[in-house]
Order: sequence, then structure tokens, then C-alpha cells
Amino acid sequence: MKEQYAFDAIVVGSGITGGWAAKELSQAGLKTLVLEAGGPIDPAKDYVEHVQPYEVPFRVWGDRRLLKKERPIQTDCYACDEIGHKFFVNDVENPYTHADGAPFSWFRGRQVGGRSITWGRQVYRWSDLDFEANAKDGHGNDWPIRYKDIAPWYSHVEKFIGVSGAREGLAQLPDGEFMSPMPMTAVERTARERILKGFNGERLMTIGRAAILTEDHNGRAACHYCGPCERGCITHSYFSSIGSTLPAANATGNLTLRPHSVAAELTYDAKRGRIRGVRVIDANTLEETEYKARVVFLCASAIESVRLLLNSKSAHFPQGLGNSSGMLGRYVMDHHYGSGASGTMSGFKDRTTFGRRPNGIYIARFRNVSAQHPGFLRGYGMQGGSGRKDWHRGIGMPGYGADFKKSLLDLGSWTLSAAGWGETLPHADNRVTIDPHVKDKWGLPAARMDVRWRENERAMQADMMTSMAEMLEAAGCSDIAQHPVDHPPGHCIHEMGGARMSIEPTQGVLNAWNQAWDVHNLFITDGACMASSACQNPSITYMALTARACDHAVNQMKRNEL
Amino acid sequence: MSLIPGFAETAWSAIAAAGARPTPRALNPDQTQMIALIAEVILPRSDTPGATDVGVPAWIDLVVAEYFSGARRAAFLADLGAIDQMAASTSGASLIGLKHHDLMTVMSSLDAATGSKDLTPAQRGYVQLKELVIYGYFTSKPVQQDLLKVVVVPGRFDADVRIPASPT
Repeated sequence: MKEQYAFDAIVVGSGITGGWAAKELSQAGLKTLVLEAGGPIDPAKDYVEHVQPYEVPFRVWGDRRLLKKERPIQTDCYACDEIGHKFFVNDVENPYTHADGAPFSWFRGRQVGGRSITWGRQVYRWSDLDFEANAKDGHGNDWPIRYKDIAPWYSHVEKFIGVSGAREGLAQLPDGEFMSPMPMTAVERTARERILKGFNGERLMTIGRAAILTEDHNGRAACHYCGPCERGCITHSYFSSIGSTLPAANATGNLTLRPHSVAAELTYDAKRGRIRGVRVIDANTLEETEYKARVVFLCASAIESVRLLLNSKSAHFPQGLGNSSGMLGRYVMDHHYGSGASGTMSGFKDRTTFGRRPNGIYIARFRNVSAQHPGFLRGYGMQGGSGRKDWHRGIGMPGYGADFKKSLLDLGSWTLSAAGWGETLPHADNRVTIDPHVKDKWGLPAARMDVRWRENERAMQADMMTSMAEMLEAAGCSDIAQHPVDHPPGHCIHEMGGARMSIEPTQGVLNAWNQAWDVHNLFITDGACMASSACQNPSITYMALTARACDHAVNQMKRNEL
Repeated sequence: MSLIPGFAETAWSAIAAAGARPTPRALNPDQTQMIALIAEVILPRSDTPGATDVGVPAWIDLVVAEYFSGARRAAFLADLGAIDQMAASTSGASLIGLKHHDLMTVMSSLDAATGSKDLTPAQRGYVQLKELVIYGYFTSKPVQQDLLKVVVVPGRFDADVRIPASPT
């Protein structure tokens, strides 16, 4: 095995959090190596957001035989279609397993940029309602931080990435550093007012807060409203590490980015009680190299980071690196999502929209904000939107002939719909472990998932439907239909937890600075660090925690404490 | 190959004019004719192109050949056979041999089931075919570009554009 010493810091992963760690550490003057398991991306060649359905043989449905062979799991994600499947892993090369009766969806991207290329771009701050939740109802452990600790870092991140949104002054969904919001449609504006009135101001529908530019920002152009962000963006109008943080890191001259680098193990120096470095397998040549550094940041995504630690066993850490508490791999969460309702808004027949807004509406959490709901703990936000029905409506509609065809070229009625994204209670038995038999293409033991929805999630899902139906009624909709959705855990792609932060070393894997209790030169700043899930889309919180942890690490290094 | 009755001449001339006569991969000649005929009845040529004008039958052949699994393909083709049996029991001829009036009677009976959950095999075949016809037509390049006037790079988002009120 070769050895390489030249780095101050190693970042494992180049996605949303890896890009941030690379930027913050290299801007602080650290020689930083970013290891990415997948290959490089060339936006000019690889981004496909402007490819039209008629330019691919199956009109976006995909080459089923190929996709089912190579990506049987990934194709269950909406974005893994005929045009965008290249940004998802090959399931044969990257297996994982799950416990009997506990299906788990794990959607992954292995490429420079990770899932920041395909992410949903919705960004919502947490509040103390979220950070205090575990302490108040006793599920999970108390967070070692509160809103005041992360608020400046939210601002730091928002100012750099660019977030469009509307200031609403809600305590449970704090405003951020917003550029101008994307506009709501006439139907959405009307619904907002009627719902506010119908629920005495308790339920508020606002435009989605999105990491998509409505103004030119930091050398990136404002959105051109082509629509399918999940296929890339040649103008870098939505935030991705490729378009924003990695170029900023590269500009310092301190960044080394190594694609095709599969992190196999964190090596531990038992004498000094430190991480020595990272053992890397070249994805193509299978050559092994140990890269050494003063500090290591794990940003490989929650399950990958936990898997890497569980696979990094030593005499000192027989149960996995940093696992003296026994908490590594426990309290895995996702958001349970999708149940909701839709309705038809009459009128507005002389209104339509132009351009494809890659963003929807958001209804801020209103359950268990003040009064306690009798059926469940915690809460959910709702995401949705409005639009006029198009030709798709013909598929389920009686009719044929020239008039039928003509009617489908006209716009149909307005629909308004939204679905819930719900908080999942942290549960010790929702776990990721290592499968004793299955290994990936590089011989690394695979993750085994055992994560289940429980009573609280089920009760909340039922309420998502009835509450949305109530709001549609208040908005003046007709033909209101409730939609139950039952995706397996992981399907929301908000998988998190497994190496939670804690106040005491016995209760978790990380301290208040995302620093491993057991090994101080190891930081884990992806979703693995989460002690609870809240209901907000989590990436902005991971980014803020990453920037905050980098600042802490740099200060400790300056003081020679690392 | 069966003789083409009067009503279907429009459909077949449209296929010929568009140069889109399929080289079937999953479908036999009778099935190809049947799909082309039903497609052209659902979305006929009028002042705008019809299903065959934009190559819908050939695309459906590709979907049935390569997108459908073997089991789904077999079930779909069996259901198409049920449509023919239904035509035969109604009028004593396979679907592509029906006179216009009889064809419309069969179409009306098949289409009445759209949206229903309790379907006969013939209706099930028709509902699947109708989805393929509509999807294939509206995602085709001529329809996307010339009729729907899809703008690939709009450059802006207008949330509230005033237009003449639509009838539906």
C-alpha cells in the first residue's frame, strides 16, 4: 500500500456537506484532500436538463431492461429516469440489505457533486421547537445545541448558496437571508388568504424556500425556469457543490480532489489516540493508498459514513471506530412523506403561467406548535403546488376523436395539492449494521438496514390527509381527494442519524461540534450527526453544521489542540 | 395481411404519407394494423396531425417490444386479442375488418370503461393502448414543438398570465 502525507485535512465525500467542508477548510489555509468514490462530472457534457422527451427512445420512461438490471432500486426514485439515471449508483456494484419485513429505499449518487446534483433544493431552518423536542417528550436524547448556536451559520450558508424565499416571521420556521421569492400563482395566492382566514392565521402557505437563484449571485446566473433541476443545471442556478463550493475551494489553491476514490477504512493510531488517515481503494485500478492528515471530515452521507466507521474496526474499537458508546448505527431516521390531498379550484380559467417554476408551495408546521395534538407527537410541513391540468388528463378520461384531441390541446381546470413531510421519532432499534455476507464491488461489507415506521408516524400520516383536505375545502376547492402514500423508510432521501450528537459521551457518537467523542480529529458533518429529524428538508442544517464544525476544527488546530 | 376496409384508409394513408410504416418488432401485421386503427380513431388527423402522422404506432411497437416485460407484453397482446374477439362476436369480423358503424359501436363500448376499475380483458387492453396513444402523441416532437409550443428555456417565470378563458 502506498502512503501519502501531504494533507492537513481529508474530506470523505464531495456532495452537499463535503463541498462545504472543502470550501471552509481550504479557505482557512488547510491543504485539503477531497475523496470522492465516483467519477468526475463535466456539466457541459453530462448535464441533461434541456433534453426533451422525444429525444430519448422511451420518452423518459427509460430503457426498462437496462435500468432494472443495473438500477432496480434507484429507479424507484422519480429523478432516476431515462434522462437522469446517470446520477444514480449502479445497484449491482453497490448492494445493501434490509431486515425481513423492513424494506428500505437507499437512493445514492456516486460522482463528484454527489446528490447535490439531484437534490430537491428545499431549504428550511430549524427552530428551538425542533432542537428542544427530544428533551421535552423524552424520545431520543437532548441536542447539545440550540437555535442560537446554529443561526449565524445558517446565515453564513444562505448568503453563499443563495436562497429564494418569503419572510413570514414564523417562530417555528425562522426566516433566513432570502433573495426575492419566486411568485405564487393566482390560485395559490387565493388559497393562502382563504386558509389563513379559515384557520385563524394558524396555517400558513408560503412559497417554497429554495436554493435556486432568482437573482444573479456569486457569478451564477438566475434561474431560467426550464424545470427539471434534478438533471443538472448548466448555469448553476441551483446550489450544487460542483457549481459553488468546490470551485470556491479550488480557487484557494489548497484543494486536491481525487475522484474514483473509495474510502475503505479510517486508520487509527492507537498510541496517539487519533485517526491517522484514510485507506482508499482506487475504484478503477483497485490500487490501495493510505492518505494521512491531521483531521478527517466524514461527509459521505449518513449511511455511508456510519458504514465506513463500522467497517473501521481495530483492537481499540472492536465494534467500529468511535463506537465506545454503542450508539453508532442507532437512531436512524428519514422523513415519512407523501400522504396528502388534492382538489380542483374552480374559476381562474383566464389565468395560466409561463415557464416551469422548479419550486412549489410550503405550509409551515402547525401541529404541536402550541396546543398538543391528541393523536401524535411532533409535526409535519406540507409541500405542493398548483397548476392547470394538461393533456395527461386524457389518459384517465372517456373520449376519443377529433374533438377529444382538440380538448386535450386546451388547458384544463386548476388543481391544488400538497402532501406532508413528517418528523420521525428517534428510535434505538432503527439501525444500520453491517451485513455479515454481502460485499460491494470493492469487497467492502455492505450496510444492513432495519428501520421501521411506528405508531406515531402512522397517526401523523392519517392527519396529513385530513388536514390537507380541510385546507383545500377552506381554499374553495371541489373534488377533494385524500391520497394515502406508504413509501418505505429512506424513500424521502432524508436518511439521517446513526452517529448522533449528544451532551454526554455515553449517549452519542459526536459532541456539540460534530466531533467524535472518542477521536478528536474526526468530524462527521453529514446527516449521520442528527439526534432528531424535525420535519424540515435537512440539507441546509447539514451545511450549517458543517461550516460550524470546520470553524471549530480550524480554531482547535490553530491552538494546537488537534 | 387483411384487406383494409374503407374507414381505415385514412389511417393507412396517413401512415404512408408520414413514412412511418412500422417495421414491427413485437407486433404481428394484424396487431400493427389494429393498433394503428385504434390510435387514429382516438386521435385522428384533423386540422392538426393525427396519431399516425406523428409515429405513434411505431413508438408503441418499441414500447411493447422493449419497455414491457415479457409477462406484460404477453398479457397486453392477449388483451388485444380479446378486442378482436369482441369485434367478432359483435359483427362477425376482426377489428380491422369492421365497417365504420360497427367499429364505432365497438369503440364506444371499449371507451365507456375508461376510468373504471372493473374491466373486461378487451377493455383492459384498450385502456392500456389509449394511455400509450395519448402519451406517445403528446410527447412527440411535432406535437411538443408545433401544437403545445413548449419553450425549452423560458428564461422567466410568470405566475399569472392572462389568456382567453378556455372552454374546459
